[in-house]
Amino acid sequence: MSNKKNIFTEKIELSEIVLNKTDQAFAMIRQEDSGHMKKANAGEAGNKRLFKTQAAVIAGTCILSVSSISVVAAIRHYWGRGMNGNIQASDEQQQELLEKNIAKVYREEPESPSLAVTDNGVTIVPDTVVVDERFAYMSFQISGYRVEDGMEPTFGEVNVYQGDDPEDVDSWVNMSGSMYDGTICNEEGCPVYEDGTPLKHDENGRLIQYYTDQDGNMEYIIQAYVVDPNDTLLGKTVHVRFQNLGTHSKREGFALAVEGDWNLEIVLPDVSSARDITVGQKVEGTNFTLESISISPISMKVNYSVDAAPAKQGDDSGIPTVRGVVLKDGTRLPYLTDGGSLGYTDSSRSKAYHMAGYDRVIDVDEVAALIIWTSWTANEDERMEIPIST
Amino acid sequence: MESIETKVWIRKAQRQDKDAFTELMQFYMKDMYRTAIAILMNEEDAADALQDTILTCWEKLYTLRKPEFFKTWMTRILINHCYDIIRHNSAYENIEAYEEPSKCDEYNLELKEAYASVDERYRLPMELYYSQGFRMREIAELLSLPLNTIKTRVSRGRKELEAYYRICQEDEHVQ
Repeated sequence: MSNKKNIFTEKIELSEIVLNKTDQAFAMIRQEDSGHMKKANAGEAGNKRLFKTQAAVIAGTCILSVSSISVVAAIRHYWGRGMNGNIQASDEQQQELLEKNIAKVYREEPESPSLAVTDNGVTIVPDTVVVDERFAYMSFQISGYRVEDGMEPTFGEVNVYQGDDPEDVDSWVNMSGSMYDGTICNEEGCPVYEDGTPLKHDENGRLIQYYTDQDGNMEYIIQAYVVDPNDTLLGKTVHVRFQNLGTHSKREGFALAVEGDWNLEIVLPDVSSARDITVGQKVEGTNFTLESISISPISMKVNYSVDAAPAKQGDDSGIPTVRGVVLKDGTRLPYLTDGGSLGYTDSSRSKAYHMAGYDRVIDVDEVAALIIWTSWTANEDERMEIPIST
Repeated sequence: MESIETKVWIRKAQRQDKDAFTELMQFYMKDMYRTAIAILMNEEDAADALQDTILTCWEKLYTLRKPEFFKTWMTRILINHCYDIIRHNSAYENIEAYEEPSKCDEYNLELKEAYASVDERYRLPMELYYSQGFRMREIAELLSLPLNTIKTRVSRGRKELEAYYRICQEDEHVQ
């Protein structure tokens, strides 16, 4: 600007009316009961969860997927509609994981009808599960309940636990779940519809979401993972308990539509797909050495040795985080990891780990390097690639 | 774009930490206000837009996948609410046409007078570019407009603002 004033850096004073309205909003939030069902991390002191958000599919894309089955006759199995938004996979990857018993499509199993639970006219049945040592991606089909356009369906509470006693601390499983709404993230980490088209808003400016498939069914998708990084989910029996079904809105919070209690029991596949790789490379600019990784098509865990643990800032432990991978053909997946936990494994803080799920399936054989961030600010000099040998 | 501190707030807020969410939104409050004023040019409407944005962000924060996109995501929500208000006001224009200006409209007068001199199509891209540090491409994506359109609007808006300031300076000399 050629003048002495600059409105773009001018100091702003918020008026009473703005302060009153925003204070009202904060007061409403404080009065609201928690509408979401996040289980507190039961990990050891100093560990923390990294948040995983949902992904989804649009109904139109679902039709495309179905039509492609008849074209690609060699492919016999397909994940459910929601699962491909929970963790994306090509037809070939889906087929491979199913054949290796790493994934399971329950609706194709003879025992499927016996797994369904019906209460008050709403039936929930497991659809697809993909599992490794650390993570389980699960999707559940919900029939017998419809929401109006523009409404957001949700459960009053969802709980995932191992074994039979949900109160037993050892039974706890970290989980993140949501009703599948038709959006996924592309390779750049931006939210889009599953066919890659940009998100759209209706005439009221609201995001258009697609909760139901062409049959009017919905899917609930869950990413669950172990609380103790040394624990495993392989072969475990997990319970997924859904309670009360309704809608959620910012004004009214949760509005109950169908009172119910649906407790589903699932025996997870027991086939290991993880590969252990020794790395032994220092993470430049830090006191951490990446000693080894355990990497599977759906998650990885990196193990560090620590020369001198950095001081904790807030709840930032300073542990480098894996954000993505570089494939041998040069393809970069910089936003691959999605959800998980990190922490120190001993009281002297000489060893640390980061455990992360993915937003898409990868071929472990094709991974050439890990993309590591040494800080949350992610300046260029704080992002690095560490080669690995697969 | 976000600092370590805001990322910590975002992560905590995603775990339903209401204090962290409040801190987070307070941190961006003045940016939100400026964006709302650039569109609405009115304190009461801006206040409504900010209130709606805070509630929507709380409701939808769990859908935000990457904390580094928080500001873009929040700004998109805010812009949508501002346009909601414009649509609503258009529908009731005849009823509200005789309302007296609020005394709160006297706040940040220099900003409002300068923006009033600029075509409304140019104000928001200018605000996002010059004041809030968004890149041209990010603004294009935020507003669902071609990149060249954003470049043109920022450039034309800047010229209009410069012309306004020239007039102000000339007036000062005359006085």
